Amino acid sequence: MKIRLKSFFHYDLSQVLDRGMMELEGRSPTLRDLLNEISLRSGGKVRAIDPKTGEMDVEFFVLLNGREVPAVPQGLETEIHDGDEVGIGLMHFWGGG
Amino acid sequence: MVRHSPRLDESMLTRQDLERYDRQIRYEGFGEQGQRRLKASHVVVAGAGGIGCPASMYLACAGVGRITVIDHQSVELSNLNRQVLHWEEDIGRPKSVSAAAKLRNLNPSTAISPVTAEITAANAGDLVRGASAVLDAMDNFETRAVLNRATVAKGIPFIHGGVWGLCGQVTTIIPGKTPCLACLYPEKPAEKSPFPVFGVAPAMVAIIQAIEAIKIIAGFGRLLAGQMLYFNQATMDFSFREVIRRPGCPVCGQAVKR
Repeated sequence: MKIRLKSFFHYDLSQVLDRGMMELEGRSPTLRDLLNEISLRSGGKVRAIDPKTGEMDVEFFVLLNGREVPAVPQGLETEIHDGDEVGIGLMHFWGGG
Repeated sequence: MVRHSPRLDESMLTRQDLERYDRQIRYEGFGEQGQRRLKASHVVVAGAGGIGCPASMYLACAGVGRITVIDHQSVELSNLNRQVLHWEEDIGRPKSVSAAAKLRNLNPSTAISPVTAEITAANAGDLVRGASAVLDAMDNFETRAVLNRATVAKGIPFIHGGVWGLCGQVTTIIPGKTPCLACLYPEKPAEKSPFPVFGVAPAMVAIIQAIEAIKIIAGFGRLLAGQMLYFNQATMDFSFREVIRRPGCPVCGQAVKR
């Protein structure tokens, strides 16, 4: 299945994506699976799940079809489907230029 | 008999104003009334760097009556890839003074007040007093927190913006109505300085902040209130994230209850 991925961080995800789309294996992957896959493909540079707690890293936000993960009933265990849009970003960009 | 407020009387449009701002006066929902409101307004731009320079330029161009530009730093060579009001001849000059000089040339009818001072908890209230809106063009958490507290206390809209590389974020804080910056960031996030940045990223943040200020002052359109806009110019991704009030926020808890 193909997931549309939006990224809001400094690491250039285009290296691991095909025109903003990410191909995922498996019948019913979850958001957790997707985030783990991104972490793997980015060599650990985009690690939205805290490996110590298994929960979202507080530095990141994740949006599934525009809804933030804490507002999605199943959270990280939510199944994602072909054509879903997932946004991942850092919570803050503090520079003033 | 129609009564006009003294502020609007002071901001009657001249023939030159009508010609200068003709294209935006034609915008439905803005008109001459919107222009008069801009002329009577005072916007504080906190920071004269990559965000503050373009933000203040567009505010001056649009006809904001008075702009206060605050910055305590001086221009450096490494600023010039993005801080478009500062030029080589300005290196070593206070940024507030350098910015004010260009802005006065850009629109002589806008009163520009440069302030060369560090924004602190002690002076923030005085610096923002009477402002129609305050633009966050700062580069650090502490000063943003100080400005957030001062604007919430005085009920002044505070338009937050920040950048990193080619990414940026903007949200508009309306005291009493929206969450404040302390709801979003109750603790100091990790910061790194110097940080990577292309000039186009703060410029995009700045023009969004500028139009938010114009909409607040003129009273039209929809604001980024209660929403954080994120963008990434490397991928051309844009998203909105709802920002949620933190129960018991020490800064805006009382303001929201009013």
